[in-house]
Amino acid sequence: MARERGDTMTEYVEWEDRVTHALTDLYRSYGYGRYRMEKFEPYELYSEHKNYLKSSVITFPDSSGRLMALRPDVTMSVVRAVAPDEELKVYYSENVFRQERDTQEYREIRQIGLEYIGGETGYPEAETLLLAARSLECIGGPFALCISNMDLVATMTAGHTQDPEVMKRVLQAIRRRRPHTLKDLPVPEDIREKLRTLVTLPGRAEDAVAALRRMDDGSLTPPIDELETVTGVLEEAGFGEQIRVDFSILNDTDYYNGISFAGYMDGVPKAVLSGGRYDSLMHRFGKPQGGIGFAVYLGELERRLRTRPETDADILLVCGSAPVSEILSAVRKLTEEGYTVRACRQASEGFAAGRVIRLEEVAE
Amino acid sequence: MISIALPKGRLGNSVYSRLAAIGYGCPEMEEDNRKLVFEDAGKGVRYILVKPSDVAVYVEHGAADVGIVGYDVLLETDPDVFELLDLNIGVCSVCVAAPVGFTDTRQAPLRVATKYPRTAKSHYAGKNRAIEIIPLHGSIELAPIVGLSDVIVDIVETGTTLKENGLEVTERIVGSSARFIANKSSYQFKRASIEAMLAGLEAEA
Repeated sequence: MARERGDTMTEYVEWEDRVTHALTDLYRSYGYGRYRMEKFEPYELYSEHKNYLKSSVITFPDSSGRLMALRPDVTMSVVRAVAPDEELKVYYSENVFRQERDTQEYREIRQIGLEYIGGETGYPEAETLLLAARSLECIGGPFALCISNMDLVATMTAGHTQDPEVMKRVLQAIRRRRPHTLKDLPVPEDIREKLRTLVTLPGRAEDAVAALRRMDDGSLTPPIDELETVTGVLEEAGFGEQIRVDFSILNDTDYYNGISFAGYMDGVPKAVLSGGRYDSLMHRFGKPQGGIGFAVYLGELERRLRTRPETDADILLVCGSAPVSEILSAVRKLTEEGYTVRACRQASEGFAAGRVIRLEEVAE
Repeated sequence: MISIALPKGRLGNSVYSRLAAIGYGCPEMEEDNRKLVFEDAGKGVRYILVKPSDVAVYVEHGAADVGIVGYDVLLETDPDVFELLDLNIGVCSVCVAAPVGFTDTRQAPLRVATKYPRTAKSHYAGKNRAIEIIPLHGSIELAPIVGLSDVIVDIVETGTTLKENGLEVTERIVGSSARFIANKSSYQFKRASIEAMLAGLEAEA
């Protein structure tokens, strides 16, 4: 969604309203109904599932002394409300309240998202990921949608790492892209090599899937097939440049399984979209059907607007003496990714570019 | 443009030399001045000089795309960043040290002076030993000498400072060395530049 340069806070609020409408219109157009919920809920609903929430719940006693919580999460609320075996497609635009574990600060976080509960596997993944990509497109600017499959990691490590401490280190190595820590893991050499492949997967989705295929001994075929199917759907929809297969975004293994994903926007330091399949969470609440969904965190974008520098173009492309055809193709690639680009032979003073990159760097 | 948060001091200097050797030099950095930000638009790099314990903060919040930080700091602050390479420099250990001959009688909570409260808490929680943390920011070795604490948790490189102050290592908690870290979002959009730098550093390591 186009934004004027030099937005003020007021303009940000207006922009947020426009994005909210665009997103909720998008979800409605796919048949999702609006889901509303209470801000105050009994704390006992959350006390058993503290690990699901990465932050602490804000609590207070009601007039009868019962401990209440300010709603910390939407998905869990939807999961509790849905009937066993019910198929439900809902979207929401709500604020959630959390206390940061490190700083102890209270935070009110704006979340817009959707939940697709029930249904066969296959289509829900395709539709949810497509809507996630469209949501990022709606917000505007260059974005990346990173996709992983938690089942692949679970299958790969099954039978080799019963020790929860070792599993924690395996997941940390993947999430933090730490290839140098793999050598100390007490797992068989072939598993270590497979983990190394996961941690160092190439950027392009197609290359990443090919790398996964090369390490597949047959047991990993279903999760790789699933990844290839969803990345194929997104490529066909025109998001080939923006999607990555990237296992660093793995969710909590106690609640999530299968396809897991996160969205990043250029210039925003943290993920602005996060989602995945959460059948395990459903089962913990006694619901036999599966579920998948995502949330967009508009608050993360506010900082980008506030700190966005006054620039003449997003990118100053320094081309040196490269052939004209190469320069044209690089500019086209970058503009298709959503950047504004100025190509020049050498970097010059007095031109305010978001960043300066050399032609060779566009090659990837 | 790729922004690099470098720790001020010996480690930062040593990493800068490596980066300069692989084509990321910035002549201004080599001059004797007090600036904290240095930029070379032609090479597409910007260096930000910060306190070593703040490097990961700059990177996690996107004020720098990549940075160099000790594993001891990563363990203590647990920032949400990629840890792409162990540079194998600045090698040291996070240790428990006590006055020579000290025995823990376990009759009272152990008083631990440290600038690594989280690491210390987690270490002693693993041993089910009650402790009292005394947070300090420097000259940790002084604490047991003047009776401020029973032991200290600190990084030890050669052990000379400990020895000179009548202390000795009683436990090694974890090894540490400098790590090349990256902001998770920057990595998605500047991957080619970050990986080129990573490959250069790997070859130098």
